[in-house]
Amino acid sequence: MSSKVGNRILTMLGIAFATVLPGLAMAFVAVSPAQAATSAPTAQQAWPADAYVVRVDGLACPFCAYGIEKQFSHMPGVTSTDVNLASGVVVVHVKPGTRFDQARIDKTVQQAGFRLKAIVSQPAAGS
Amino acid sequence: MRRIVRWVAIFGAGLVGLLAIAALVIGFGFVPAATQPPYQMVAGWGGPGSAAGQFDGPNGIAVADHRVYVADSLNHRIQIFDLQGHFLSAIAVGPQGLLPQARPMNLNITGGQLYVGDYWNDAVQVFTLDGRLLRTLGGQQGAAPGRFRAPGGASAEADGTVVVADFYNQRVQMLSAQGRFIRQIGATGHKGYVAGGSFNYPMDVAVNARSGDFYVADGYNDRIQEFDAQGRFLRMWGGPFGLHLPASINFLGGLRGWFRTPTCVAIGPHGDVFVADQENNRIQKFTADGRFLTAFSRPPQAAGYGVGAVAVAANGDVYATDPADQRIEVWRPR
Repeated sequence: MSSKVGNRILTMLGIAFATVLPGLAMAFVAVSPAQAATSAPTAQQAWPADAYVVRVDGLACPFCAYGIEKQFSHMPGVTSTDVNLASGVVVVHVKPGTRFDQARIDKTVQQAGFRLKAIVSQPAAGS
Repeated sequence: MRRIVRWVAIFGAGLVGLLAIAALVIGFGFVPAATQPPYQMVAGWGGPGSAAGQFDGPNGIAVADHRVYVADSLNHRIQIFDLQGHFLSAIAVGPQGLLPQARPMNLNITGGQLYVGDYWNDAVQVFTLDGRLLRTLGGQQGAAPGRFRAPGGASAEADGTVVVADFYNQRVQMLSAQGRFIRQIGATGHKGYVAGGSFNYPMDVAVNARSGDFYVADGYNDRIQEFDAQGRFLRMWGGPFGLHLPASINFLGGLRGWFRTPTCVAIGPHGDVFVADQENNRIQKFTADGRFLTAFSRPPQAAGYGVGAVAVAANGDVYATDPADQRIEVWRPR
């Protein structure tokens, strides 16, 4: 008996959630045009051969962009850093022969207050 | 096995449903109605570039004495305009100007002096309104008292006490006019999400000349915090009780009176509080004690955020930066 009641309550909760979800999704889209605009997928592109290209979680504003740029600028061999807030992509240009391992990049991103998602591209061999 | 899976699915759906409903109830219980009409945009100027009157990252703005000061961050300068947007002069990198590689962010004017948060050089610079350097505070990255890690903005109280949003140090520092440490709010290097007086990347401060209180744009906590002149916490707002909801579930942050990354705070001539609500692309206006009054915005033409910083002129006109379009906008009460 009690298991039937419990089952019914849980089912009702599930139905309640299923009912609320579309409304919630619509409300989310309605109140967050900025977020919707910035989450569009980025087109496939050729990355520069002299750069590490990394994807970073949590980039939101110029403070983020400048923070990560500043952190990378302290690494020897880095010549400049470009940050695309909308796509969360950071392009770190380096002098020829400069090599960083993933742990080093990960640490730098963390020190700037973010989380490394992936290293998308590295400098071409020999450069 | 199938029965267990079914039970887990039902239970999970029910739990999430409850949370969603709770979020809705809590959310709509804390959405104030506007009591003033939105402002209307009456003018604008600028565009991308490095020539006079063009911008590359306008991330700070201040207005005083019939002049508009714009932190042109990636051009390493502060441009000065008249209230109609005519270029007058610039404060550039140099012996009596900004530090090398300067990355000026939020600007504030109090007591006839311009306070500049230099994010790149970990310094606060103070200028006359004519652009003459008076002094530099900090300038060396660190967590020790009196040092900064990427200050986002600074202002001053009537007695000259300088208040600094010390971004990466997760604190607000109060210093003497010459930079001697007085006290700090927040735990150095430690983010705080709930309690008043703790921060998650503070980005700007603004002093209310009428009351002596100051306000902090607590950026990633999506809230504004108010303190008295001695740095005692008074109140906070932005969603229910100003308690930070983790960014990943701040899906209601676009509601009236809530925020998504407030990057700048400014005080109007009657003590009202204006907030650049960056990720929502809007400016919100509140009373001095945080009661929502109105909000206004215009979507940017280019990709990015259409609101970076805000300042209010003596006549009540609001000047805002639009980093996406590299422009300045002027808004006026209806």
